[in-house]
Amino acid sequence: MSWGGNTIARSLALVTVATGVAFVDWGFRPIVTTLAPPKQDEPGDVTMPPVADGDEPAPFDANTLGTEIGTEDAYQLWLGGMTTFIDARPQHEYVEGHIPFAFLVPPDSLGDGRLGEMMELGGVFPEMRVVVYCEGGSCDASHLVALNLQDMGFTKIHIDVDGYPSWVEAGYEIETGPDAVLGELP
Amino acid sequence: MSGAARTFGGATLLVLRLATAGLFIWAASVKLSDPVAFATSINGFKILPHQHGMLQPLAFMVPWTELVCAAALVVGFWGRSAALVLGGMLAVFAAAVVSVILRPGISVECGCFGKFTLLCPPGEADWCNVIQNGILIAIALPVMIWGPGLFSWDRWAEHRCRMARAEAAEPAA
Repeated sequence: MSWGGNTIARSLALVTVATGVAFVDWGFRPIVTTLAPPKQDEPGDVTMPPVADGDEPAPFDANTLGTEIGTEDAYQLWLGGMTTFIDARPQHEYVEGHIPFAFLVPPDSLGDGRLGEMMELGGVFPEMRVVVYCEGGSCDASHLVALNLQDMGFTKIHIDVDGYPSWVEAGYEIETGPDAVLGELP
Repeated sequence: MSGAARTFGGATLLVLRLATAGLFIWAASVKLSDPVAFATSINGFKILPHQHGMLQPLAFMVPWTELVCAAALVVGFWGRSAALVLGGMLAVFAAAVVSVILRPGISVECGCFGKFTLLCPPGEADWCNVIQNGILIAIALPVMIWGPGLFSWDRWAEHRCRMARAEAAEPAA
């Protein structure tokens, strides 16, 4: 057998077969499914759902939310004021605009201990409810940060799959500038 | 080349082929058992942009390519091509590690074999990982050049092809 076009064509065929199998595997166990569903709030937790006014049902109950949420649910959590928001976009995008009070944790910084630093300085505890967002659509960053949070013991993690562009589009409040607590990344 | 020399060469290729295949089957199974860790590891290299959603598919494509090509090497099916793909991947991994070394402020673990290591001590990726990949390329190189050697599908197919040609040529002679 001679080395030439045949070998290259066969190499491409092997890669194509492997890619096909990989996509099937990915379809069966996408990385997001490894996130456990968020735990329910318990009495004494800092993120209890709003109390019903008289016989009226509570307008919004965070306990009904799944792992993936949309902009409207994220906004309701933000209004509640007891949920920590984490911005998983690159620093320059965060500085240009982000959800008010969100911490900046780009996935690039995961190896730098930024999550641990954030917990220490920002007073964020694993019992707290957190929402992670990035650009929405197909961005991976929020899933990666969420998985790392889960490894750190967080049990109430939501991913805003619509992302920051949808928040802006909805006309909700934003703020600009560096992370108020952690400042600029080194 | 004498028959003994041919057999020795074929046996050497068989050993190199199986060594390469075994290594990649191990590497692939480690990565596939924890795609999140591998995705985080790829992410640490800061080469791919996050917003295009390439990280997750890549975390599956890399180990599956390793596994498919390693399986092809085990049976010696398209041995040169399989070794070429694996050698190419090793070269790309080495280039990625070099890019990390050359960019200040980035430190990342290799992630080549999950949390395990082969020749280099555990810790940040450095020149040791580049040398390690060079050695692995050197092991796969003879298979890329001369084929999969003894006990391979390719050799059996080649032999069958030669026999068929000889049979076809016989009546004419």
